[in-house]
Amino acid sequence: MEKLTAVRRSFISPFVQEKDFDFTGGYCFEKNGSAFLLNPDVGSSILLDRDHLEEIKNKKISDDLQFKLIQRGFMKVPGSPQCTDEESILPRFFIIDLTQACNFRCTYCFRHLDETPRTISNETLQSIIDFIADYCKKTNQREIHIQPWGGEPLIAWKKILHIHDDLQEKGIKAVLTIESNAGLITPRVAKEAYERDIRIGVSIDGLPEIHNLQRKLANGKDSFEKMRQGMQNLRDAGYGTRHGIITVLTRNTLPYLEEFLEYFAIDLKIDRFKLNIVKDSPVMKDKGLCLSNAEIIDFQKRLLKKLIELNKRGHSIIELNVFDKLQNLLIRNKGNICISRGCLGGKKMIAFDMDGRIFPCDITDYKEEAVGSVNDGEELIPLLEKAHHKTDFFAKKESENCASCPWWFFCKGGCTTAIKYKKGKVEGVDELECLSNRSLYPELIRMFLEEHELVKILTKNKLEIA
Amino acid sequence: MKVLRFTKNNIDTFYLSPYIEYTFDDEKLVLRNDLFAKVLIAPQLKKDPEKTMQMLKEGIPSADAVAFVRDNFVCNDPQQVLEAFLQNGILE
Ligand code: SF4
Ligand code: SF4
Repeated sequence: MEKLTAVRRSFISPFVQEKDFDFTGGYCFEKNGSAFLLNPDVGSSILLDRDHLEEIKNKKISDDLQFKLIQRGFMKVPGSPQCTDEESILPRFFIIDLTQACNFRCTYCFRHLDETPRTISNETLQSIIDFIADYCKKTNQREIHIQPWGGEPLIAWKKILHIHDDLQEKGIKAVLTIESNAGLITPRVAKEAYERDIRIGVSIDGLPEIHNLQRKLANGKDSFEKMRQGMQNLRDAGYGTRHGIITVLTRNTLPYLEEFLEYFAIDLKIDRFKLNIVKDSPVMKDKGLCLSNAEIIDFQKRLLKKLIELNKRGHSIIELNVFDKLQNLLIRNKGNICISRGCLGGKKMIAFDMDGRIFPCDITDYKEEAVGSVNDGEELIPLLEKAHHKTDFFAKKESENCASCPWWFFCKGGCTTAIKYKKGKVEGVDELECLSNRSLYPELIRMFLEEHELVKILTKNKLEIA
Repeated sequence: MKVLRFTKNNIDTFYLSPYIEYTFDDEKLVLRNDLFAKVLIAPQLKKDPEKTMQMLKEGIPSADAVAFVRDNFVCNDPQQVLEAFLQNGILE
């Protein structure tokens, strides 16, 4: 925290240098003779030395710097290109809710798991596949992403294979991503998945004892060994350590953060993982699992510190939210549908429920959020355009802090589904994401200005500040 | 990807913008600038495409930029090609 406060943050207001030469304004973070400028409206940034920052502050910008600022969206001159900040409606990521059934009973599960869980019928699944294929043909998309969803999606493994095969026959490459508890990953499932290049992420909640506490089998027994065997089957089938890992952080796991990261890197040889903070929802059984504001802030710092320490000790391991947020700041990442340009549910992603209804995200337990159905005979993009004016999901998310927030472009109020699950309607912002952004982004910028070599480590050499 | 910190040593050098995605479609170099939503199809390349792109990433002194375009792309008017690269946000 001492280091963080040493980074000076200010806002440089817009000004006109000469007639028609506009500086658009932006947040400025300075330390050690370096400055990071961020344009919160369009998410662009630039790193400068002190002399060039002074040119801006003194409103005497040289031609060379002026050119760089134009190309980075900080300056406009007559005829210069206009920045874009709006995303078109063109879904390329599709979630299909295959089953409510699950072989686990996790303490924080937010699905409304009924007594008699349903699984999608073959007829409805076929209508969804046909709908997606028709949409892809009309929009000229030959490669899309599909996430079979549950419950535990592998319960419907045959249906997953059918999605893959049928789309392939229709000339569409479907990249399938599955998040699984791994309890059903047999050697055969692992082999079939590997042969089809299906991306599988395994849910692990840290150390075995905590995992067993939070992720019980449906029969009440411990699940860690089952998960471990499933993960091993994936590795043996050819994935090696290149399968995903998803961890839910709760108040139970938080005290052991450093220990389980060590366990991930050294014992499980995991080299990348995604750490999601548990989200509050009305169906969550144990509210005590949610983190307090102070814990969230503390967590971000501890996570960064431990990742850096492990990497310095020679264990190459990255966390994917940190990775994406580093890219947001430095290269205006657009890869993450949730955290790079605000929530893109209903624009780049949609979900189908087991009756063929279409939703802007995996919010299928809230039927009022359906934008239409595959059985309506209507086309997807017009349906989504209409929904943008109609359903609660697309309501503006904002708090009094958002207007002056440097992270606005990346956040835009956070995850709509998280707000809906927590409050029952879309109002205000996703407080958890807000707090995460407000604590993590300043730490990352401090890194750019103080220890920029760490960027290379935490992005697995993808980015490097030179 | 190298993210640059601009100083007096590199402020007058042209680099490939960090907001560019490029692909080689049917041997054509297609460059997309995501910040400005611009797409540019470059003239035919004379050399190994990846080598040319690597040189742009490493930086070309602005005084050598026209010569660089002449050496790397099939074109009658390298100055005009360079202008197109600059106006579409391909180089910064
Ligand atoms: S929700 Fe928070 S982090 Fe997000 S834009 Fe608003 S103030 Fe910033
Ligand atoms: S609602 Fe949440 S999970 Fe869905 S796309 Fe938006 S940010 Fe992502």
